Amino acid sequence: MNVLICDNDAPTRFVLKRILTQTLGWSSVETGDGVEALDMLSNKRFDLLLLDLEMPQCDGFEVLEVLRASAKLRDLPVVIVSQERRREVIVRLTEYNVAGYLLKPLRAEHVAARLTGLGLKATAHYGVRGEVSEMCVSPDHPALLIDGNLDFRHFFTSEAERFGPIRAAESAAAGLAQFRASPVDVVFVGTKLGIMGAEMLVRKLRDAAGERRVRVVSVIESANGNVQTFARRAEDRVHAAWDDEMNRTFLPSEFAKEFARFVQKTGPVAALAKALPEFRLASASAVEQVFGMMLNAEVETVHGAFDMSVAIHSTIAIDIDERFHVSVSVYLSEAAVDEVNGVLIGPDASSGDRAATSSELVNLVAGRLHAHAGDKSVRSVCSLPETMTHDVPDQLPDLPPEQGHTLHFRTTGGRAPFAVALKIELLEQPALAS
Amino acid sequence: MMSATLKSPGPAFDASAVFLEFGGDAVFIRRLAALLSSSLPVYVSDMLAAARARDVHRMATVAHAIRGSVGNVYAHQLAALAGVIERTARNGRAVDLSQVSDLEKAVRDLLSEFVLWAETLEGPERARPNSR
Repeated sequence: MNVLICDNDAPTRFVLKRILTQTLGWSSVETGDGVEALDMLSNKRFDLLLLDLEMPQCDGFEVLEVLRASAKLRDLPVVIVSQERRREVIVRLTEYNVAGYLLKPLRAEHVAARLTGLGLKATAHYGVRGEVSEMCVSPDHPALLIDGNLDFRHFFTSEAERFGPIRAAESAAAGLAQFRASPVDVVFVGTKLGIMGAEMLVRKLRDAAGERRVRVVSVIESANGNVQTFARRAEDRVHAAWDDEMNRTFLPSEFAKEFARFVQKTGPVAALAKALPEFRLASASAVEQVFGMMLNAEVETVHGAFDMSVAIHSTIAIDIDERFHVSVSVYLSEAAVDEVNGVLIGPDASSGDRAATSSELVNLVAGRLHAHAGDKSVRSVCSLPETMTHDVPDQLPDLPPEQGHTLHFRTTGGRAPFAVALKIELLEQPALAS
Repeated sequence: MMSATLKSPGPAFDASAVFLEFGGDAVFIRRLAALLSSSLPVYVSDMLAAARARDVHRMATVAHAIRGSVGNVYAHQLAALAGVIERTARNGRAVDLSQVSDLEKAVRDLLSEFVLWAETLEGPERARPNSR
């Protein structure tokens, strides 16, 4: 799902973006202004608009009026994000066929439940983009970066080359020549392209590709590194030609996060995506989502094998403080696939900031386990056999006793679509509890 | 437990709730603090200007914005105060200027406490398993 957030309050946009990205795995861009929102909507396809009502210059009602009068955008799903409770305002909204209403203050669990409950689907337009979205950088699939900034080319290649070969060109003309000589699956188009502008470059790249598919990614400037608001020049009318875009940054951690979308995934995530491509759009940060649910839920410790029909299995493994190797496996029953709306795949442990976030969450879950199971039980070890992380097992495996005690637990309160196995390997003494 | 990273939160916001809502993501919380530090003073400045101009419509709009913004960090008292000003102004009544002063102070308190608290949070690179 590709979402446009329109709210004049920057902290609120930041919170919303986090919920969309981390809880739902949706992509989003943001604007603080209704006028700019309309401009962006006219230039790029979005699957959903999250719209504040009270904004300077052009408020939410004005945006809605324009959208509903537009042949192109009249059916765009719009969810209002506001703290407005006045009856007359709510009644007025019903005239605009809004898909939903999120009341501020925003809370992740509630927002995620409401948005997934809408049953939105990516627009048909994204069918083509969906195909190219699987085209990634890998050791066997080089990518091409076209950018006039020498520093950025160096930075980009040094950061990205661990995932696959990166060819670089300093101008649009040079990049086009390289592409014609040796086509690649993914082309990153940056700035300072020389005499040939971005629009013509993209057109010529597609012409040169012919029947071959190519994923063209705009590497665009960030107006504010913190907020990740993409600067969009009024004269830039080539957005519709992009298959994707990434934030232009010199921060390695930020780059890793941005670039993760263009890297070929391995392991259970990729295996599942290949087997069940329909889950791809909805997949993303389930481990964090599951942990988020767990943190708010009572946990019940279940000793021994947790016998359930397992459909999905994802594992993250993180070293903490060079003292502990923590491996968390999330298993979801087949029934749970529907129950959690298909969002069920966790990020790889190497996915930059997200891994750090997961580390925090693992940390918290470990604390929870202490409380529920006691130190003796948690002083246990080892990750699952490597092969298991790539399989879809029928049930949780029993680990040999010498590998340590394993805790399997599930949530209570009727919300138990998953099981989690958490194993902590103590890398050095002293014992965990002190 | 996780309280190891909750360092003496002030009463201007609910630190535990913020910590849980954002999954203990120290990086995110610090960025959020930076954003609040940028936006809230602007709202306050707008509010003071509107109060001086006796522009109740503008006061209602700004109070509404403040209420929405600080709700993200569970600043209940400040949100309530902004709500009172918003309702009064929406009804076309003059807002007591002392309430505007209270609002200004409450924003100041929130920012100082929230920023300080955010800085004390342990970042992911320093995350440690909790021990009892």
